[in-house]
Amino acid sequence: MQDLVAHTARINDQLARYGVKFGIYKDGTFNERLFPFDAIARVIDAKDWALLEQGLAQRVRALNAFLADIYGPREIIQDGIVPEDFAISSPGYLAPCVGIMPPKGIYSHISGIDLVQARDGSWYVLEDNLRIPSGASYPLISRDICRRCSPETFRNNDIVDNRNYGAMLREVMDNVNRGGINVIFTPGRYNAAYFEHSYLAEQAGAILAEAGDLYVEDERVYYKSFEGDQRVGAIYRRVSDEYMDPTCFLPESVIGIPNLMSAYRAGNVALLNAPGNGAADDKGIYYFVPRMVEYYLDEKPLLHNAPTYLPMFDDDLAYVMDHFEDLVIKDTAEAGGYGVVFAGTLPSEAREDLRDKVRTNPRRWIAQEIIDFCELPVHLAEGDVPRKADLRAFVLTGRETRVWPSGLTRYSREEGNAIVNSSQGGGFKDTWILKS
Amino acid sequence: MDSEILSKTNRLFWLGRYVERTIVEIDIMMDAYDRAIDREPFDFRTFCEQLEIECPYETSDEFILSFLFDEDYPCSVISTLGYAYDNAIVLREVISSASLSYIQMAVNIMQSAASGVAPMLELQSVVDMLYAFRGCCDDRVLDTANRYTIKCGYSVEYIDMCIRLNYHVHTLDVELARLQTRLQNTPMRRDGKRLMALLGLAPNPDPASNRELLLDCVEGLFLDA
Repeated sequence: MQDLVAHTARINDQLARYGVKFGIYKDGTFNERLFPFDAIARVIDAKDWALLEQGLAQRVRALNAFLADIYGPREIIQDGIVPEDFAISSPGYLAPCVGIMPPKGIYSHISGIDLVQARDGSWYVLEDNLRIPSGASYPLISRDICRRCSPETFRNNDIVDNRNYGAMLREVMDNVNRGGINVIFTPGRYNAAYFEHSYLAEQAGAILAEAGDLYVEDERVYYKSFEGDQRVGAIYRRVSDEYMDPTCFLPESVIGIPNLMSAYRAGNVALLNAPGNGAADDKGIYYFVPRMVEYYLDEKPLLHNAPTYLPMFDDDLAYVMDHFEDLVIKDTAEAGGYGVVFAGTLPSEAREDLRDKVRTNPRRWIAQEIIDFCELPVHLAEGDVPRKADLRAFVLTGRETRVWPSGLTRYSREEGNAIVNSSQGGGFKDTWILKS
Repeated sequence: MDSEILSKTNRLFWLGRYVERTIVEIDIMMDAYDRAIDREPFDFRTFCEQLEIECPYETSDEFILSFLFDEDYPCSVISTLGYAYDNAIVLREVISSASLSYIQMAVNIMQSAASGVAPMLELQSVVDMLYAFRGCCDDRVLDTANRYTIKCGYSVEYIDMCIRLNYHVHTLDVELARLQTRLQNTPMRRDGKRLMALLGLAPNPDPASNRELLLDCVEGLFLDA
């Protein structure tokens, strides 16, 4: 890998050439930043990957079953596995989606599962992202560039090729397409992940469309074009649930498609991922995912959650209060690395303030044991340094549930910092899966 | 234009126009910069009048630098290149990442030229990237209608600049003939009257006598642009 690492600056130049950026809104201003790339890849051997692959696919199958259940018969609630109040009070649970069966019964077509590896080598799931998980485009384009920079590295290492993501995505869209073209629906070029939207459209052979390019007539969706309007059969939407359709959700949304939900409800268009998936990737519902695996699949979960406590349960609340300084407290209403607090690092007044918030509004918070997760080497001019890193794995559900043999490894740029999100200044690495 | 939702075809056309305008303006400014070395002032006020753009500058030197690199001046070359980028960035799946990367590189070099020590050398690289973009589009934009819509943008802008600025005016008839071919392959609707007038003038455009008519025909040629 040393030969490849020597090309780090050149690889980053190439990423700049292709506009590999993400956007950040700060103080009301939109800025685009290059996403720093570190050429030292995360390497996962074949044996480890086989376990991860099975565990990830299992988890996503269970989450899809959960979504079908809570928007349908709600058996998991009736059987007392997930408390009703808890499932239904999730902000991601959308009443307009009750009773809608998406094409082929698939809710989460593209799932991003965040994991960390502990020092003993075991993997823990930190978060499920079933709405609009970002990040596949970065290792996808960087692999292509790395292969050009250092062909010998890829000739001499038995690495699974990850450049099939576009084809996998296309297969997933084609599988549920209701007749018509495939579209990637973006909020527009000032969205944080616009590079990804446009790059995936190119890779998957889909049309990139904004709200003004699409309209609904007679419960069918059409794309406006000079050659005549074209029927749309599947929409990989990168717009949040609440902004997707102003006639159904937020009326003030100007980035949505009026009446999109009526076309979806009529079964005339597939939405990937299905609206309402937030009910299953809520930071609180995460606690119940291992139980879902046992309940729906009658299997033992292959992947572990980080040890998690729900303050809404009395026993858990007591434990959280007793061990507050040793826990990481997460606000279930936040995302993108925001609202994550290591309670022990807070000044005492702020810590007590947070403790009161958890006590008075326990549904809003979860608490987790701090996992001392692995650091990976990051190449800097002065030498290699260790940095905390996680892995976002992508699980695609089409005719079958498949795990993309790669993933986005994000690392923190500051020593000791465990927050790796790009919006918090982190960088990324490629993830190599070895064939043997 | 910002408030309208531009279709992809429209964006392709404007992408072509802005790319061409950047190339022509850099060519003119490099010549002006060269003349300035010999203390030959650039008649920037006439230049602005011909282009019908505002001119908030007082001296030739100030104008040349600002016209090239001032991002706050909406008529500057760096702004024009930015408009090309604005159109290109939303067309990745149509023009390909490879083509888009040349626009991205042109933008990167232009920004570096603005603070560089040898801006004229770097401007040459900007032009190189834009010609590379054109070549790449020829190769990578497989849809004929899309490819020719960008080319219509090049032609319309080039003709417009020829007429307004007397720029390479001896090539005007050739460009008009080229536009005629390109028109046959774009889905954009054109104004029949203007098209007939333009084709009538094409063999001998004589912009000195027909300036207003030519400008009206070329600017209003496409109904949807």
